[in-house]
Amino acid sequence: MMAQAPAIERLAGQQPPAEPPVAAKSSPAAARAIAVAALFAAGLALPPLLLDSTWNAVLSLALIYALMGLSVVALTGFVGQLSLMPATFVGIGAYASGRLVTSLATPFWFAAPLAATIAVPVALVIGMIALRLKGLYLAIMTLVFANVVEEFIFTKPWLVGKGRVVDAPRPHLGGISFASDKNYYVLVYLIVALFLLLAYNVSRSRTARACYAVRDNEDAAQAWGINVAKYKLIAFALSGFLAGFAGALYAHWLESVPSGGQRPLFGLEFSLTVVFFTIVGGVRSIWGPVIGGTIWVVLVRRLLAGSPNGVNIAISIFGAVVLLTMLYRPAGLVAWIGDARRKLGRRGRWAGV
Amino acid sequence: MGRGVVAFFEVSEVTIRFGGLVANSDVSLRVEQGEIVGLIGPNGAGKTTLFNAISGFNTPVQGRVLFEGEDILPLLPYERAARGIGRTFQGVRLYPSLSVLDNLLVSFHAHMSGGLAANALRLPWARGSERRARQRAEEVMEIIDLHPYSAKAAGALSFGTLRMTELACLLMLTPRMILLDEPASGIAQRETEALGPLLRRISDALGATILIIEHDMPLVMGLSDRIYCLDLGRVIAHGAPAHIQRDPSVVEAYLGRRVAEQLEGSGDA
Repeated sequence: MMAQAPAIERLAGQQPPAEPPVAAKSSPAAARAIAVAALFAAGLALPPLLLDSTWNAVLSLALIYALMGLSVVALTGFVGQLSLMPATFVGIGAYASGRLVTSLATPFWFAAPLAATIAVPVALVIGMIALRLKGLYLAIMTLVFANVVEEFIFTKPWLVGKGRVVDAPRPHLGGISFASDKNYYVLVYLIVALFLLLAYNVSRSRTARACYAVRDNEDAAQAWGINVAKYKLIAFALSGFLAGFAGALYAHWLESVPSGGQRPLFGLEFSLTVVFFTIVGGVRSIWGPVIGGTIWVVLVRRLLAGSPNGVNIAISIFGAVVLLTMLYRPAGLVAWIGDARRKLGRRGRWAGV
Repeated sequence: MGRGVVAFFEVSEVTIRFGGLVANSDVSLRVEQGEIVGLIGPNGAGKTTLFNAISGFNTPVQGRVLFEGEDILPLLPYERAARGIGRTFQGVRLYPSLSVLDNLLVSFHAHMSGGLAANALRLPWARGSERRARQRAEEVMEIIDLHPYSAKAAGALSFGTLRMTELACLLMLTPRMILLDEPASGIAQRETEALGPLLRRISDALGATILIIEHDMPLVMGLSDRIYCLDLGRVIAHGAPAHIQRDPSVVEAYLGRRVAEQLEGSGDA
């Protein structure tokens, strides 16, 4: 256990160690790259080729939900802060993008990122409050804040227009129109895939490790040289941006975004839905919201689509599933996939012996 | 050191109060570069409180903490760590859900470059920094013999292994000043005996200065160049280990006045 330390002296000083010889691309890595590329291409091409437009609309909504869930992962999964207002940022992105396109004639390609950027300072305000509040208190505060935004901002004519509906037409690029559900699916797929790729890169990097350290033990993170406040704020900003971008995609998926009413579109119910399906899928993995979001959307939009109480039934089911997940498998559904892969890998090695 | 007057590390007349409770009163101590200095005293003497003040987890009402001649009290804890003051906690505080490897990499954070955007886009400098960090982690795991645990979550380790992981994290952070809070507590006697030489090696290899709180007397007496003894928040004695062991006020602090007097009496007889 205790080391006889032969090479400890080598670590003296800060000089970088010698570069390792560049290994030739091993065949498992190449095989993996091919598998990922094939999966990516299949996801891009198969739904528009094989499925009808309703299914394409449902699947694009699933991907948009996955992006909303990714904003929960960035916050709850990365730095362990629970916010119950993801839908508020979705709403900001949705109204902002719609208004930018319809009232200011901004092309979608600028409006969507701009709308997501508008959500960032709002998220940073919540983040600054979160530096002082912890856990349940923060969750309650976000709940109140979400209500305030819903009541006093999402109902204002300067934001949602006099007709209380913001139009959000689907974009086009040169001669290509993304108006049809199939084409819009392709657009959403490419954007969400790009975000997942970036999130994947981040999740294995110095930045994410600092966030995980903050999540696991703030004091230790401080003592080992990590600026806890900075990484919390980064997580809030990132979360706001992702939710805002998802909101923009959602607005143009809906094509017109209503405001207010008896059942607010971007209220607590929506926020809880996003948090729920992300937890079920796996809140610490960037694939969790993809799994959870897809299950949720397919469940509500297809399987229970005929039922007048479809959403209520689905929320009840999901509430129970969230409870079970937290009790028995906090890592979420994505963890079962990890198990299966490990099992398969072991069997593979067995066969190799 | 240049000017001999400026100590490498100095705590100067520090007083720490929690409400009406005086946890440290007018504590001063000096540590020269490369020294290993012990900090002993009975429970509640204010040793960990002093560590917390040095690393920035509480604020003295009075006094200064000088590192290389500069007052570090205005700095936040992470800034002090990045400046080169590393510390361990009583009972080990690492990141339970992260693997041993990731724990090591987190400790190298301050030496790495690459922010959110650079990492998202896998820009060359971020990748290079990551590669060097991983290589260093490999070397450190080799030295501390942690390779078998590399992928294991820190929360699943035995306490002894956790201690070794913490020392490995120190080798990643490479502080110039190390504060160790009871490194031998909770590990087996056999491991404690090997800990002294290992700490000495780490100190020599990194050129690091160590301030160590420890209740294991053979360890702290054998390891330390000098020792400060705290009792009720004050420094009651300091000097070489041999001197400290004979100091009547130290014996009294640990055993109480009556026992100390009895011991003295029996020694005379």
